[in-house]
Amino acid sequence: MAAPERPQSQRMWEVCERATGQVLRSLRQALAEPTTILGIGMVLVLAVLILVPVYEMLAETFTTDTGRFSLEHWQRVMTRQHMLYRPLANTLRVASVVTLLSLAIGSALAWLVVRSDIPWKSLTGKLCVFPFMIPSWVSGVAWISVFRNSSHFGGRQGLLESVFGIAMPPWMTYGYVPIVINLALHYFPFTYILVSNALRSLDSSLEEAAQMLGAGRWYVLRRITGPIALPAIVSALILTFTMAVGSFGVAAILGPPARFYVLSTITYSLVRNRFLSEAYVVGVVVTLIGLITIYLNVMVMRSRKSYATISGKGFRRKTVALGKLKPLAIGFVLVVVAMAAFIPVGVLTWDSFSSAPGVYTIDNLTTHFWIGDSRPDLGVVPEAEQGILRNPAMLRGIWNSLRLAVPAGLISAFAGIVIGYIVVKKRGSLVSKALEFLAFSPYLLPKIPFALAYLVMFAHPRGPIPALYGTMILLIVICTVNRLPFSSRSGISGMIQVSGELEEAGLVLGARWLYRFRRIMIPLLRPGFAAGFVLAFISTMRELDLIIILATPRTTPLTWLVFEYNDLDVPQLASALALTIVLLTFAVYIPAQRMLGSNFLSGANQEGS
Amino acid sequence: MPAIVLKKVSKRFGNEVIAVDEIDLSVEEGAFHTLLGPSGCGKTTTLRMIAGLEEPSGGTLQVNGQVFFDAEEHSNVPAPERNLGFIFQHYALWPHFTVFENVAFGLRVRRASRDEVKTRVAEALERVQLTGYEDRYPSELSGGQQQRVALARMQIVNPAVLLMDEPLSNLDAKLRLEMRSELKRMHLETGSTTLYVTHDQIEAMTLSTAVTVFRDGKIQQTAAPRELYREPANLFVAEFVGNFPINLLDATAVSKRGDGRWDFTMEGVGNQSLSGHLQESEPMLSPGDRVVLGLRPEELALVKDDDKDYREHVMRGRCAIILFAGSEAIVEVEVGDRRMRVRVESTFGIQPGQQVSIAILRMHVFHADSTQRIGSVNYNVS
Ligand SMILES: Nc1ncnc2c1ncn2[C@@H]1O[C@H](COP(=O)(O)OP(=O)(O)O)[C@@H](O)[C@H]1O
Ligand SMILES: [Mg+2]
Repeated sequence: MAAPERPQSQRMWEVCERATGQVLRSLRQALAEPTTILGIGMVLVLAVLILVPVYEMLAETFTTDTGRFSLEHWQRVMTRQHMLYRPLANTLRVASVVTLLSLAIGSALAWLVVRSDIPWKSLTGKLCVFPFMIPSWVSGVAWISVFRNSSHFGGRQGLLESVFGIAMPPWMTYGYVPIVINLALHYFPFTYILVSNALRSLDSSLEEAAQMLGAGRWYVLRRITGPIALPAIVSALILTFTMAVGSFGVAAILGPPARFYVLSTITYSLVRNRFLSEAYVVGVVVTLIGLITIYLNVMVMRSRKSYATISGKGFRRKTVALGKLKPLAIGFVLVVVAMAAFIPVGVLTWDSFSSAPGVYTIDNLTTHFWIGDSRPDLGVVPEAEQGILRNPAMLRGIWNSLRLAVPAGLISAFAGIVIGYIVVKKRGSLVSKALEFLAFSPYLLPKIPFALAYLVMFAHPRGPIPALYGTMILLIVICTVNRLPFSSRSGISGMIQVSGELEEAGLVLGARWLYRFRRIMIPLLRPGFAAGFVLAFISTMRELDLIIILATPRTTPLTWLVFEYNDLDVPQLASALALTIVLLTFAVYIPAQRMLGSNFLSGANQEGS
Repeated sequence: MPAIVLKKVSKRFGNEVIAVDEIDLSVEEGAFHTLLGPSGCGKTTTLRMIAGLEEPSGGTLQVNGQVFFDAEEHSNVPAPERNLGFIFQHYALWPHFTVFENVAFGLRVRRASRDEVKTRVAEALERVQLTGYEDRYPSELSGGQQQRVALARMQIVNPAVLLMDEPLSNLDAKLRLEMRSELKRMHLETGSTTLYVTHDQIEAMTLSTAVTVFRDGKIQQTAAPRELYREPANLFVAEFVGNFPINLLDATAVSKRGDGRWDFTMEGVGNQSLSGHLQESEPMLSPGDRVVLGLRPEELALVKDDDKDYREHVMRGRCAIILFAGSEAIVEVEVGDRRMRVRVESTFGIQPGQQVSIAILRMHVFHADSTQRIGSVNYNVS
């Protein structure tokens, strides 16, 4: 070394000083901008609300009652056929067939609406997303009403038997087949939305170019149209499969009477029977399946060359004449939509006005279950209960639903915008990436295990956090977090549109941060906020999976009541309550659609219940 | 024998829109024939009907002697069996195929062997100078390259006739010039009958051996570019074809002199009058007829007042604006209450406000009512 030697310690000291100075300076810079602090705060909050509960649940599966590490819960679950393997096999069986069916139905409908000359396209298109508005387990309730049979399962007649004299076999009433049919009819709108968007952005000239080179219809479909729509179909496939693996309501209503359990329902039943640790183990397994699917999705998407369609201009979309097949196509649409939406709603309506369930004659009609008085003189029968609109327990259910869905909707829409703001402003930074990932992560978590994780996390006070179990706050929190993937996504894309120059214009004029956010960003984002709220509100109104484990008598919302009354086999009350949920949903959805434009639902294309 | 023959071909969309109205068209073997007209006049629809991508509402359609469509006979050969080449306005390259796969498609449809596909695609790509781009995706190519892939893809199956729908409209100005000469070169090389659609009259004039001008689904004129320019069949063609907007003046045919010269009294330019020999032997004109005189800016000249050569056929006015454009300039001259555009060399010395005279070198005469051409007058500078 040529440089004059200075004492080692002094050099060290200087280096340290410089480094510390740098750290302090960048820290000071970061803190001068509230976005960073806000971002770090949000990351911490989301970590506590998402990662910690999941970690706690995972840890719990390896812990004995006395707090020691052990594999006993896993061993017990692994060695019991009925706890894991059979439900796992059932889940995979259900999910794969549901996925295939809804892909087939959804793609066929998408092609018909976008590319064929099927009449009343706009109406048909609306009808195709309509089933999405009806909670899937509501159709499950209706299914029982139609298909039950006096010779099994409690002995009451269903619509088919009572009106047409057709006695349905037991496997059509409960278990695998009805679960698959109901889920497929509920999930096909997702495929429909994704694939119809893909087909819509497909320029006919791509197909015509192939025709000009001598390719016939099938060749074009196989080599051009199909492959171009494939990414959308793959997304739909993964999405549907994930949702089907995690889905609870339909399987909970249609499965247990036939002793048919899937992972989500076995988890619930384990919780009910106080096998909590075992439930956690199954919950972890469900979560893992979800993660594997999503991982596959990422791999598939990455391995495919991304090919943006080149030019958006001068676009032609030619429709294919259906010719003689037209009546068949119309019939197909009608049957699907009727089975998925109109028949269930119709059956529920009838049931809610039926004096005796399963009797389909005019003189059986009554308004008792809506507005009737209580009749204690009748003893312990359904007719003794008050009509739901006068029954304090039911009214409290409605009230609970509202005081759950309104705050959850508001908070998640607002959080979505704040997250979007931070992610976009801090693009490229660690905070931005962490926040984006965290906000998206609930998407990877099936609902029942996620609710279980909350049970682990919030059953007891932890540090500054009180025991939230049993409070409405917990339900609001979990419903809000569950919506974050969607609200933050739209927050981010909204921010990308409005941030930048518009905000900088305010900055140049000297506006302070809060002022900028309040006066420039908020007004620009208001429509997105409204849409986010409406979607979150609707999905929370009919949320069953997340709350079934966490609700307590004081906080039970409508969905929980429907589930209970269905379990108690009081179809009139269950139907009336289910219908109330559907009506409340529409009461919000229809005006929102008027105000926000008919397309806002497509932003909701990735959620189910 | 013409390669493409259309007889009374129409296309209606729904009940209201008549996109193409009973057109007769014949395209000679080996021609570079252009359909020219403003947007929405039915050019694309015509091309697509020939391609088989749109079914005509009536008429008959033949290519190389084979009947592709006949409304009476209800015969309609589907597009894949017509063996025609088509270049789409936005290229329509398949985004999920590489350049190689795009070009190979036509051969694969025909179940060509692996080796044949390989060699012929390589040849085709070499012809359009894209060797080395085989594995790129269309989105990784520039507009000009995409265009050339589309050309290679079309040519690989040796189509009987090439149909091109505004293939250059998506390129920037410089590239457009390049591709224009490339297309011309290609046509000279292969001699394939080409039917080309554009709304750009310069493109049409430079590329074509024949041009058909469309308007509102009807054919206005079919002619070689030079004839189209020299003898536009009606006012619409005269206005549409030409580098600079033509000057139009309302006038009245006053009388025919003994020597066959006609006198025209012009309006709006201070009642000046002009006279001249109509070239046509028996012009459809009688005294008192209302006519429109068409004066192309490049067929006018600015002259000094004392220039005896031009004395007879000049209009006097005042220079209002000079629009400079490189080698040439357009001078707007106020004549009476009209403005006349005159093309001059940009070296021509003139200032706004100066008094000038406009000499007329050539003049087109149209019927005011029918807008049909009557004839033209050439003023031979003595
Ligand atoms: N598929 C269609 N449906 C209805 N109208 C159409 C359709 N295609 C073209 N048209 C109408 O036909 C006319 C001619 O269109 P086009 O042939 O595309 O014109 P150009 O190519 O000359 O610009 C236009 O008025 C256009 O709006
Ligand atoms: Mg066109």
